[in-house]
Amino acid sequence: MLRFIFRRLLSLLPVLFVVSVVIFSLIHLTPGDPARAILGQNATNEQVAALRESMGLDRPLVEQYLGWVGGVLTGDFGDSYFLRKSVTEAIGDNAVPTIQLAVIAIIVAIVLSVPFGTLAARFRGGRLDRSVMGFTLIGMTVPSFVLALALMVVFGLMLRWLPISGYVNPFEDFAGGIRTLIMPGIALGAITAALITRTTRAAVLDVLNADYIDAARSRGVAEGRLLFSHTLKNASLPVLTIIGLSLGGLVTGAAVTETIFNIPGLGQLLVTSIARRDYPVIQGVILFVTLIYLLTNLLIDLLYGIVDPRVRVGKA
Amino acid sequence: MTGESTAPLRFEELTLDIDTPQGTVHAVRGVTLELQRGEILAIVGESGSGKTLTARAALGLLPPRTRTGGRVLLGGADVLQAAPEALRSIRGGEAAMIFQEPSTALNPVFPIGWQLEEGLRAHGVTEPAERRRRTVEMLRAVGIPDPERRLGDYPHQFSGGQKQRIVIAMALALRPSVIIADEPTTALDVTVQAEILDLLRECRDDFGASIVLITHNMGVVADIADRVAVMYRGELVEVAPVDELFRSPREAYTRQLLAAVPRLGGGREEPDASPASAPTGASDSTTSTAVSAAPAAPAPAVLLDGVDIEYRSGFGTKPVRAVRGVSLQIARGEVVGLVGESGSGKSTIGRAIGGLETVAAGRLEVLGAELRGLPRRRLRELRRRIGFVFQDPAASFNSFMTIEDCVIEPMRIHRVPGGRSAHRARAAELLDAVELPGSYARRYPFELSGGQRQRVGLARALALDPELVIADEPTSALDVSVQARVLDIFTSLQRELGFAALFISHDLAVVELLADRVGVLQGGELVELGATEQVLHAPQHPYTQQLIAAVPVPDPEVQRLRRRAEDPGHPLLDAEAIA
Repeated sequence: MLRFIFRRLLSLLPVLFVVSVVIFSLIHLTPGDPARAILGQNATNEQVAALRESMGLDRPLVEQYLGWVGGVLTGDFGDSYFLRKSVTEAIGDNAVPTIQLAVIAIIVAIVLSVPFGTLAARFRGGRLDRSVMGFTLIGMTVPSFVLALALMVVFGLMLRWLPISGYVNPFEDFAGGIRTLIMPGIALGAITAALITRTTRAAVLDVLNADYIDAARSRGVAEGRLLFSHTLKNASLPVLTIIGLSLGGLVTGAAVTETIFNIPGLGQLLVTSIARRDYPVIQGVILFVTLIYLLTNLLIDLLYGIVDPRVRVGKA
Repeated sequence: MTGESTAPLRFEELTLDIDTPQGTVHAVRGVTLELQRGEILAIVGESGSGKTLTARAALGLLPPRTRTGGRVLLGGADVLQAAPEALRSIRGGEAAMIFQEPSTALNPVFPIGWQLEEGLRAHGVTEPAERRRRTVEMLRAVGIPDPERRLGDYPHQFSGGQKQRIVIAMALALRPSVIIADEPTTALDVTVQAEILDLLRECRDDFGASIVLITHNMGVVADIADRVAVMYRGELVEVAPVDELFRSPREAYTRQLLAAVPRLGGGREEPDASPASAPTGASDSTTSTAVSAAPAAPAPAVLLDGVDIEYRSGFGTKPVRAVRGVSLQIARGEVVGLVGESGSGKSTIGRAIGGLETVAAGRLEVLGAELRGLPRRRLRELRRRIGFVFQDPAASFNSFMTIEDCVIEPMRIHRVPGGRSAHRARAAELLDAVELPGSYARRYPFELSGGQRQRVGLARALALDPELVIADEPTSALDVSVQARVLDIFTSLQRELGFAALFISHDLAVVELLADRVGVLQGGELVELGATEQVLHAPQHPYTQQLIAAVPVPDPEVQRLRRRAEDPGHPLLDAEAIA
C-alpha cells in the first residue's frame, strides 16, 4: 500500500514538469510586459529596457525557465512583482480561504445530493424524483454568479441573516467564518451538487436492479437497509469519480464567487496577477492548483480501493 | 395424504398479470401445484413459460406492477396477502432462494461473511459472536474449506462453484422449510454442476428442506427431481413423478420437450452425409462468389500446429497462457467440435482462428494463409471468407439496425458487387435459408425471439458464402426446443453449402449432433482429439471420461444407475445396457 502511494506520488513528477513547461511558455509567449505594467504608460523605452534587464526578462526563455524551476525545486517560487512578498507567502495567504470555500462547497454538495439522489432513485418516477430532477436542472443551468446574487438579495438584503460579503477565517471565529462562507459555498457548489445528484441517482438505480439486491431481499433484509447499506457502497464508485473531477474545478471556479463576495482567495489573486502580468505569482498559483488537483485524484483512487475490493492494489 | 396442511408450499389457482406499456402480460394463469415435504419438485418449461415467476411468488418477489390472483400458501399463510413485516420474516426464514448466476447474486463490495450475517441480522440474531459462529458453521456445511479464514474474503476471490455454495449457505442459514432454486447450475461447468446437485440433495436430506427446482435442463431433472411440473405459456401442462414423466409423458407438449433434448450417446441425427463433399455454393445465388474450386490439393481450412496464445493483463505482469501447444486441423467441409469447461481456452482458439487474437508461438494457418504477421489488408480479405456466430444473440446485434441491414452489413463492408438491390435479394434468400419469413427483414432484433435472432446470426455469418464458420456456443443461450431447431438448420445448411466449421460448446450432446470430430480442451491443452463417436463413446483421456460422467443423462432410471455405479470409465455403456 505505502509502496503504491509512493509510486503514484513519483508519477506526479512528470505531470508537474509538463504543466510547468506549458504555463511558463504560455505566459511568456502571450503579449504584455510586466516591466511596462510596473512603470506605467509614461515610462520611456530605455527605462523599461533597464527594468527588464534587472528583472532578467531579457535573457533567453530557456534560461529563465531553468532559473524558475531551479528555484521551485528548492522551494523558492520567486517574488511577486507587485505584492512586496514572496509567491509562497502570497499563495499561503490566499489559499486558505479558497480551500475552505471549496471544502464547504463540496460538503454542501454531498450532503444535499447523495440522500436526494438516492431517494430519487428509490422512488423513481414519483413526485420526489421529479422535483429533485427539476432542481438539478436548475442547478446545472443557472450560472453561479446569478445564484450568488440571488442568495445575496434574499439572505443578505431581505432577510438580513447573513453578511453580504467579506471573509472571516473560521479557524479564528468559527461561527462568523461559517456565516461568511456559507452563501459563497452554496453558490459555488450548486453545479457540483446537481451533477452529483444525477450521478448518484443513476448509480443507485443501476445497483437496485442488480441480482444481489434481489438476493438480499429474498433473505429478508429490510428495504431501508437494502438501500443505504447494501446499495450505497456500490453506487459510490461513480460518485467518487465525479467528486474528484469537480474538486479541481471548484478551486479554479472559485474566482468568480470570490470576486462577488469579496473573499481574498486564490482565484482573485490569479485574476489580478494575470491582469498585472505578475509572472511568478501566476506560475506559482497554477502549479499549486495543479498539485491539489492531482493529490485529490490520488486520494480518490485510494478511496476506490477501499470501496471496491476488486480494484484493491496488490494481491490481498 | 392429509393434504393442504402438511404441504410446506402450495399454489392455489395462482394468476400473475403484469401491466406493461404494451398491455397486460398474462404471465401465469391459474396454476395449482403442491410441494410436498422432503421432495424436490422440478418446474420445467421454456423461457417465458412463467416457471420462474411462479416459484418467486412463494417469496413474494414479484416484478413491479404485477397483479396477483389466487393464493400461495407457505406453511399455511398466504404470502400474497402478507404484510411487509410478515413478508420479511418469511423471506429467508420460511423460504429461501438460490439464484442462477452466483457471481451476480453476491454483492461484490462486501465480504461474504458480512453478507451471510446480514440474513441472520435481518431475522433477529443480534449477538455478533452467535452470528459468526453460525456463519462459519454454514460455510463448512456447504464445503467451503477453512471457513474461519475466508469470512473476510470478497466474492471475486472464490470460484464460480464456490460462489454458488456460498449462495446456498445463505439460503440454508435460517433452516427454511422451502428452498426455491432458480436454474442453480445453469451458469456452471458440468463437473461443478454435479457437485452442486449433490449439495442440493444434502440440503434436502440433512436439512430437511423441500426444494422447488427451476430448470430447463432435462438431465438435471432426471438426476435430482422427485416430481416434475411442466409449464407452457403460463399454464401448468402436466405434473408427474419423474420416472412416469420420462417414461410415458401424457401431454403432447411434454413429449415435444423431451424429444428436443439432445442426448449424449444418441449419435448424429442422420448417418453422415460425406463431409468432404464438394462445396456447391448457394445454389441459385445471384452473388455466388467463386468458392474454392481448389486448384491442387487444397490446404486444410484450419491448421494449428503447436499454438500458444497469451493474454497480457498489464504492464510488467506475467502474461497468462490461455492456450498451450494446441495442434488441430479442420479439413475443408469438416465440422470439428471443441468442448471444454470455462477457462479451457476454447473461445480463445476460435477467436485466434478469426484473427482476433495473436498467436504467441506455433503455426496457425487459416484457408491456406499463415496468420502470424499477415498484413492487415490480407487479414481483412481472409475474414471475408470466415463467418462468425456468437453466443448471445441478444448482445451480438446492433439494436438500431433492421434484420435486413444486419444481414447486409458484411456485404456492404466487403463491397460485394451488385449494390443495394442485389444485397437485399441476397438477404431475403439467406433469411429464407434459415427459415425466417421475408416479412422479418424490416423488423428490429429486439422484436425477435432468442432462437429467431440466432437464426439471423447464422444468416449473417453465411452472407459472404464463407468457407469456414466459427460458431462459439451458438445455442447455449437458447431453450432446448429452440436449440434443436437452430442446430437442425445449421446442420442442413452445412451439408448444403459445405463450409468447414469449428463448433465450440460446453455441451457434449450438442457437439455430438453435428461434429465429425471432437477436440477436448482442459486448461488450454488439447487432451483428446478424434472422431466424435470415438471420443464420446470410448474416451481415452481421464478428463474426457470425467466430463462425460458428469453430464446427467435425461433419463431418471439411467441416471440413478450411473449415480449408483459411479463408474466414470464407461458411463455410456450403462446407458446402452438400459436402452
